[in-house]
Amino acid sequence: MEIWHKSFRDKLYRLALRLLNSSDEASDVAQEVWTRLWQRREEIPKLNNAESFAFTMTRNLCFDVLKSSRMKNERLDTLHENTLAGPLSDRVEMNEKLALIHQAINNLPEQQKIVMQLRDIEGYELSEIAHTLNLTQNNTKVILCRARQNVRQTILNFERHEQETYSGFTR
Amino acid sequence: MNKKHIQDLLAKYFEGETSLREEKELKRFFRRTALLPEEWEPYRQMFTFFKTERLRTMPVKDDIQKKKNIYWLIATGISLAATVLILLSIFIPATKTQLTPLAMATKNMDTFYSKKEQPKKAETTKPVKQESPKTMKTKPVPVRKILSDDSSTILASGKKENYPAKSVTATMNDAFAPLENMKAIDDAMDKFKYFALMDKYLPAQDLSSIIRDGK
Repeated sequence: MEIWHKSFRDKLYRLALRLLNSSDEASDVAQEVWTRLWQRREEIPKLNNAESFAFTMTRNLCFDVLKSSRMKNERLDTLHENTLAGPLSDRVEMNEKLALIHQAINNLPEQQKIVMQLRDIEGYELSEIAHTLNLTQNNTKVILCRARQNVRQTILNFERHEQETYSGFTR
Repeated sequence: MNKKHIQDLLAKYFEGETSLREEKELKRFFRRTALLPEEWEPYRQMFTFFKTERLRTMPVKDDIQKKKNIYWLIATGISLAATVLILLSIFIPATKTQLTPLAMATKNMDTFYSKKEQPKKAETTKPVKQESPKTMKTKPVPVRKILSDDSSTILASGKKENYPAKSVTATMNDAFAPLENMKAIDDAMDKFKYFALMDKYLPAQDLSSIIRDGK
């Protein structure tokens, strides 16, 4: 089954990472989801969409983690080091603009983060994402649309700001 | 034309109307096109960001490595136990071969005693009953006297019937008297014979009761 593949666990990890911004916490969540799935492996074939079931589980666990006060205290400290010090920064030099996009997505509300993560990064159909979030497809589309526009707005604002400072510098 | 197409796709994209295929097309376009209008450069960054984010994999955690170490320890433990078992399985037959001479000996004893046993039993039962007459006539010297007397009587009267058959057997017994000790030793050895046989025929649990009974 596809959900037992390592790549699917990485998907769970990336979704958790998107929400938690902490590599350690995200891998804990992904591992937990995976073990819970394994414990209920006999029920899995009965589900019509096992992947969105797993994503829902991941989302709920992430929300639990976010709710806990411990995490709230830690997050402010670990936010920057963890997001930038990942496997990505080892492989690709994260330039300013990529960091900007990262920040733009990071500032989105949780729902928009999830939708954007699953759609633009993981490439899932809207119907599957709607199933994951227990929303209608139209609602999901609206959330996705807002997420993309928010990100674009952040980028454009930054560009404009940069141009202004650049022009100001030349004067 | 191409630019117009991409522009339409971008507009659709930000409305959330693009299909997955169209989004793939967009991603491919921004990845492969070297020269882009300046206003599109941020979108290239965005799509490359999506691409690179998808490459993130879950890091192997220390806990998992520790678990792996534990599994490795268990595996080595099991393999060690297996080697010990294999070594034991080599040595146990060796001890058995050491025991086989004993079994051979018991076999020999078995055949040896089975041949001798029937006369022995008759002998061993008889002396017990005959003990009282034997003790009466055990002393060799009086018997000889009687014999000499009888012989004299024989010589005198010529009666052969006076020669007592019992006294002859008694003298025979007397002659074998030194062998009586040997018989006793033999009887004593009988027990050991059974010990040897027990090793061969009887299970270990039965040994204790048999030793206690002395049979």
